[in-house]
Amino acid sequence: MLRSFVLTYWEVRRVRRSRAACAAVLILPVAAVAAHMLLGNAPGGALLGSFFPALAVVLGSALVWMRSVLDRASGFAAGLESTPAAGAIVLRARVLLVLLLVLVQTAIFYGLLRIVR
Amino acid sequence: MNSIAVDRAGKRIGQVWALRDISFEIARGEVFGVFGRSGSGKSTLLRLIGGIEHPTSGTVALEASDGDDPSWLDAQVSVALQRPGLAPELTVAENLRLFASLWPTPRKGRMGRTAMFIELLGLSDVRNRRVQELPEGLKAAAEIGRALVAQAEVTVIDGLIERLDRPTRRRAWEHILSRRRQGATFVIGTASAAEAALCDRLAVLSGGRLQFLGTPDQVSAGVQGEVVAVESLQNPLLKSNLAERFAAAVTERNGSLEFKSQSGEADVARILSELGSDVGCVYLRQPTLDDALDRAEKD
Repeated sequence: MLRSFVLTYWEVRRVRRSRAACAAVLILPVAAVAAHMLLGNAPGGALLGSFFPALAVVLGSALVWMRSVLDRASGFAAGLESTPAAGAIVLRARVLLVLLLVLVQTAIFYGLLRIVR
Repeated sequence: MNSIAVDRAGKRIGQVWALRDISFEIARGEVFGVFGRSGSGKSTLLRLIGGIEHPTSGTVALEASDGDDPSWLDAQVSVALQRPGLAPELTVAENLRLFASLWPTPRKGRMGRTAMFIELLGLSDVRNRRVQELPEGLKAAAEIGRALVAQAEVTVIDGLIERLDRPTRRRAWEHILSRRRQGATFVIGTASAAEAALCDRLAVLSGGRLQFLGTPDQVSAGVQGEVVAVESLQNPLLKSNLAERFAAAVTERNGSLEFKSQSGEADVARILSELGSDVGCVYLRQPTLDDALDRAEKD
């Protein structure tokens, strides 16, 4: 389990280094806050507020899946496969990364909501 | 004694057999070379030994001695690939730290070990540069560092050492030979005769098949006869003249025209008498690993 945490730590560093990944993390909460403001008190606005974590899970999972595809193309995935961290450890690290991204996006969403209100 | 046993291993990629019926054993503490030109099946074989791919037929197994846990041994093969398996967004030093932390090596001294490999592989000046910004030669050095930092029982390095500059290559070999003395096993894939000559034993591959197996001297000696080398005085017809007169395949190597001969001295005398005006220098030499590779290609 420790190696999954170690790998997650490095994955977070990699996300921070990549402008595209950072933009993908930020775009959902910012867009959701903008939509929330536009919808105001309409039922859609309230729904967005309630279902944001679910949206964040979908986007976080999509982002991590995209990164795994890019890792195959760059060769990094093969590099990981040649270590004892292959398989379950990499999978656990990806799940942890999704959870972290969901937490970050949710925090940004509710933080921005508080500011704009 | 632990060893790697490759038993009638084959690998089919799509409809093509990249490897067929390969069998050999690698002993613990051996530096074993897989020698062949590109397309010979070297990388496929090394990926099978590294456990990254599985054979379509036959087996590739890391054998444990009595008392060793085979599952623990499975986690003891570190592989440096031709296409680097590094994280492109991270720096060289970060990559080595990341991969060192994924292996069951003692935490204490890990930073020092990482720094040692950075120094050894001539990466000190670029240690804080992202891998995606590095030129190919330095990426190869970083990839070797990624495999060595694991300090695994078995290290597989696929065609990367020859991409290093000469001093770094020498230091890398010194490290490999010193680790061998401690019982570590290395499997080196190479197309370079200079690298192959440093291995304890070689498997010479061509067309996905094992052509020779033995020490570098045994492999070179497998080529019968001698090699006649002719330095030409810029006569463009000399190559075809030699091929015609001696009914041999003439190749160009290091500025000389060369062919294999069973009666070397007689052939040299004949060249001097018949083609003397076109020839700058003629000499006989013993076959090398490159000649063994040429023969393997023809077979």
